[in-house]
Amino acid sequence: MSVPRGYEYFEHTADVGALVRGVTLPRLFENASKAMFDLVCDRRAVRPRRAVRIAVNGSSLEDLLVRWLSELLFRLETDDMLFSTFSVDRVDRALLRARGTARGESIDRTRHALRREVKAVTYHQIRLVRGRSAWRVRIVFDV
Amino acid sequence: MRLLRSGLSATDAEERLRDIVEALFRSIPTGVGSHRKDFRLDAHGIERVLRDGAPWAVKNGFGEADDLLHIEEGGRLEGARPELVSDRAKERGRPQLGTLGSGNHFTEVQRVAEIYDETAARALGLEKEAITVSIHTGSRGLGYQVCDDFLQVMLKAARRYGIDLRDPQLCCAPVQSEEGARYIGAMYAAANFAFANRQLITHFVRQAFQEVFRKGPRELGLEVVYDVCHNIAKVETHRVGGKDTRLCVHRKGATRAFPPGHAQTPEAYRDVGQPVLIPGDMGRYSYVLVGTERAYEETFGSTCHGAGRRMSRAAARKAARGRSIVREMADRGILVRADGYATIAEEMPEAYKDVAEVVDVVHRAGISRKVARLVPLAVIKG
Repeated sequence: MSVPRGYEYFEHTADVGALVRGVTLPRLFENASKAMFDLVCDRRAVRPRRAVRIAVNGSSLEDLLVRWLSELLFRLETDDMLFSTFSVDRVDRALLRARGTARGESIDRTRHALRREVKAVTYHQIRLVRGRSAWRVRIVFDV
Repeated sequence: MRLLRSGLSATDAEERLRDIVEALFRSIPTGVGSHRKDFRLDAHGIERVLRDGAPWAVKNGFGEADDLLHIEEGGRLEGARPELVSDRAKERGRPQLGTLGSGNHFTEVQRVAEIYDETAARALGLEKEAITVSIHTGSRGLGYQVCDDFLQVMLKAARRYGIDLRDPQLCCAPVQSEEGARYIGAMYAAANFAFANRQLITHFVRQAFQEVFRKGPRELGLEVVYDVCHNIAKVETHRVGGKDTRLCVHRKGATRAFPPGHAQTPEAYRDVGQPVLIPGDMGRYSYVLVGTERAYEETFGSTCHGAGRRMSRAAARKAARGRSIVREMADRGILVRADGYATIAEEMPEAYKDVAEVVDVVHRAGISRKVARLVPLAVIKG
């Protein structure tokens, strides 16, 4: 899969799926975050003015990614923010922890092109694997 | 899903349609990050909403006591356990009470285009060419968070009970286990939030109509026909092998369709059956049906809840490329206002199956009976 932006969407009747890749686990998490926020809004119009620290624990790598993305959705709804850039510092495979920063700004309906709400990140047919040249995950968003 | 009837005729409404859709769009927050600016529930308020549902809303000035007579379970599920809903879910839900959301959620102004059953229509207060309003939304971020939280619980529970999962999203526990009981308590609380949410939106619909028509509530006659859940599991009594048995009935893509005479069917509809609301797509029509004895015998008092998609969202966006769905809808006499530009393309009429065909199936199967067809005039979406 050669995808310049790090992910591509795939067809799913009522939801939206994304196939995401990343050379490292932090890049995979960042690209998955982009895939999710590209569903929500046009990220190009979102200025990275405020940084929000994110730290999550999981019970598997798949679970860790779902929790990372769910935390971003939670911040979107409770802090009323859109995120455009993501830097994941560390994904600890042994302790199953991820830490990083999401940057964005408050929702401004006059300036931001809003697309749709993502209701939830699902575990539906989730598969996170290490390929020969990159990590890959298949993930479905409930929209 | 909720349906309101009104004392307005389609001719009254047609010339004010643009004002109606703008007023609705102003008074009901929709789409990404939608929250109410005019009030915010405090920590105490959210507990009350989760425990008391629509009656909480009425008590706080959103609607009339009579509204509650025409809501499944009076708009309050007994057995809700607000203390089992996480703080995160409450935090997500607090600013969202009284908002529509996005995806397939909508508020729609319709006219009664056809009546199939005069007696039932009269009981439901539906007259040909009268205006109705449908509200489709639910428990919002609070409900999604309850689901997220319990996925974690159920993933562990499935391992503990030795349940072999084909897909982690289908993680589960026995209904009568501790995890099962806790989930039901939290889910009922989320359902109460949904009842309260639709009750608030009803209030804002009434306000919008009052503002546009400069008429009082009595003249407008915006009354609740019915409000019924879909996508919920409830503990109910059904006859199995000739014996009354307590069952957990999970209706997903399905809705309740109780027969005439059932204790849960509102007094006013006792002779005709519980109203069943089946939304179609935003360009064609929706249907009102009533529940039947047959549904009670054969499908645990259930029928279908919607048309179902024919196209994936991606396919719909592709089919909409280069077209203005809003203009196409306007050419058909339907005004559409949406917050998110992706939503309109994904929700365009041809993305859905023809609900008339779906409704004919359940009608012929006898698990609900057609009463009226509603045609959209104005739609707001997220």
